[in-house]
Amino acid sequence: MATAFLPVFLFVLAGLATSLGMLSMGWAFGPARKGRVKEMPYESGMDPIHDARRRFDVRFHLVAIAFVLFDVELLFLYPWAVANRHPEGIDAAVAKAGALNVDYSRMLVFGEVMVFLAILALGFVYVWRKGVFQWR
Amino acid sequence: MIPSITDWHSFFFYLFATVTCVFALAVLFATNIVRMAFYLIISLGASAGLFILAGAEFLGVMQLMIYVGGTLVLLVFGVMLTAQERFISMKTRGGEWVMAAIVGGALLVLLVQTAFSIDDWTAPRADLSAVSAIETQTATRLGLGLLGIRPDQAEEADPVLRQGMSGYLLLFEIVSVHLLVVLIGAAYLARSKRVTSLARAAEMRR
Amino acid sequence: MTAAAYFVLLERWIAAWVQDRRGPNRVGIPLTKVRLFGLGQPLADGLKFIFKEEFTPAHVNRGLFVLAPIAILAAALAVFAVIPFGSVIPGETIRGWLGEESDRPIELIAAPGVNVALLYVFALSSIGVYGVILGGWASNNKYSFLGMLRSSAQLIAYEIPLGLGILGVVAATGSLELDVIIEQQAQTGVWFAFAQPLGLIVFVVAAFAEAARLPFDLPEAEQELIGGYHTEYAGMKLLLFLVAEFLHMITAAFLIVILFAGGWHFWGLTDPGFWGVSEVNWPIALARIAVLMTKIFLVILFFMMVRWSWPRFRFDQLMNLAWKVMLPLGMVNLVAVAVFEELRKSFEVSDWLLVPMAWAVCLAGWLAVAYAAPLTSDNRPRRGLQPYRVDTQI
Repeated sequence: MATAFLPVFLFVLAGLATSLGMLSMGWAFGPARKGRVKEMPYESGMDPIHDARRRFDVRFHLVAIAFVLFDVELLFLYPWAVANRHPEGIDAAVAKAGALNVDYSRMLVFGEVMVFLAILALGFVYVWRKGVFQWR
Repeated sequence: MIPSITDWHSFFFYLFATVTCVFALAVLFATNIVRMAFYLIISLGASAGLFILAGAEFLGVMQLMIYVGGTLVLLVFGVMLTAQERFISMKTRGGEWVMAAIVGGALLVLLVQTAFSIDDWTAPRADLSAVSAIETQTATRLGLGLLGIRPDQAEEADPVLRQGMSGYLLLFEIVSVHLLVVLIGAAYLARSKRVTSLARAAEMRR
Repeated sequence: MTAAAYFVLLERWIAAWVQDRRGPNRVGIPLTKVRLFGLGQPLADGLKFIFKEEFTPAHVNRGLFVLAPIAILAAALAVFAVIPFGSVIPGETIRGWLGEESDRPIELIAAPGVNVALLYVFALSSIGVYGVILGGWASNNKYSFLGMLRSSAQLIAYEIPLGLGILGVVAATGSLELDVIIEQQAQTGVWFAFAQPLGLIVFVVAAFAEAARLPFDLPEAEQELIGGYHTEYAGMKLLLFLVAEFLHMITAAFLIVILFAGGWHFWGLTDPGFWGVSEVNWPIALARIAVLMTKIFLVILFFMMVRWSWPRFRFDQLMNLAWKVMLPLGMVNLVAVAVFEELRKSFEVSDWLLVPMAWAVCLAGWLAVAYAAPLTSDNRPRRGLQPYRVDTQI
């Protein structure tokens, strides 16, 4: 059971409570004066022309796609990174494999990760050449 | 009385489970798509808490990172791209409700049936103290699995079985090829944009 | 939180010092003439925020508008659950008061033993993006909307180099726990700032961008966007945004120190063997806390000095830096770390011998970047294009 995480959850709740408490303090002690002009969107004194929520450039969407892709890449690299030097990680597994006569070595693991990275680097170079990162 | 650790565990389980379910329903019944996306964020975030409580800490945090922090940013961007006055509100029609109910109901029946068919899940463990001793170094084990060795299978007595358990190395490499494919897809999406801006440049030079 | 308030004061002092003027130095003890160098300023500011109007304009999505600052501050606060504030303190005394039997040393961390701590920090920082997105969208204001788009794109783009920088450290430690990472640096004596200089550069740049500090403070960019995504916010809600921003900076400083500058470790000073004792006693524990806090203070000072030293990046430059410079450099660093680990394990090369090799990699990376992007006097994004023709007949 993830008992180590319980203080973390409590911390999250405490963070929420703190923010709410601060907000309610301002709400309780602050004045409340409304006005028609005060409630308009701020546009340096000009009258706003149309709604602010317009269509925007698809490039932002593209940045998000690239982000998700590389985030997933990182996700798959974290387990390797942890196993790389953890006491129960690759070294232990290699030692065990030797005793059990399973073909497994550190160089093999290194090669596997490099293949993974190389394929991704290939994709990265391709995308770069295709101009995904070009911000015009 | 200070609540014991199991009490806190149950408390957070019920909290997260309630939040997950309530906001999943809110996604269903909301009509404003930005609100829907937002409810989905909360629902998925709370389910990350459920993963963590179940001992899959790495998975839980990854749920936060990839789904809440990554995929849903993409989704929210997509929603905001399209969320004009005309499209901002969505009403589900009667026929769509029926279709969704059939598909969702079938999936629910399947899942419930599977869940109850696992013996360990139907009755509480007799010895609760044994449960807390579960190995929690999930990231290390995952890493070894992805790199082609299953520590749990390496202790298999039968050498024939042992050879077959080479872990998820193939999947690991397939994932990288898959990411490559998606990157190429993204490049394709960017291409049309590039062409138009080049065309505009040519037009301006004229 | 209080620390954040006083860092604001410090920031204003430094701003004043850099600009050769007097900063806030008047507020002291009320009703007396004692000024205390302006130490009362943060208290007065906080009090003022409480009595400001809690104003919500009419054109916003009320629910999301209120929720955005709560989300961003809660995420910024929750990070500190897994960040160690020191090493350990001897357990006997305190546990004696509490009447407990165990004499295990107490770890100075709110939630010890969370084995995915680093990823948790990382995940929460990606949740902070939602505060920005929701706030900007709910405000229904053009400045907010533009600021939100820009800053969310910036935050997600720089998360990748941030992750790559972390990954190098994780691959060299084999743990995601922050205290274990410090422990390892203390044992070998080689801070990762020396062992992975390239990783440090990538991480620091990404951390600056994530904290939206000045060379990358496009989310606000007062001169361009009024207030960016929090243009429409006032009173306490604005305060929540501002505090969250400062907390991000403090978190970034903690992470830089813990991951790359050895945390509480300083050669000799924090080592029980150096003082001839077998385990950590009170003076050593306090020394460790002092070392950690000093380092963090220095990093924050660095943050504030950078603010007044560098002009702001343009948005296309920002994106180019993230995707075309920092991401490749991060990957180079990762490959280099993997190779070094292989050298260490298979050929038993010592830690100190790997350091010059790492610096060689860093130098090569720097030269490659310098070669790929030479100095230029015309750095407009559309250099190839002719300027638009302006029709003067109208």
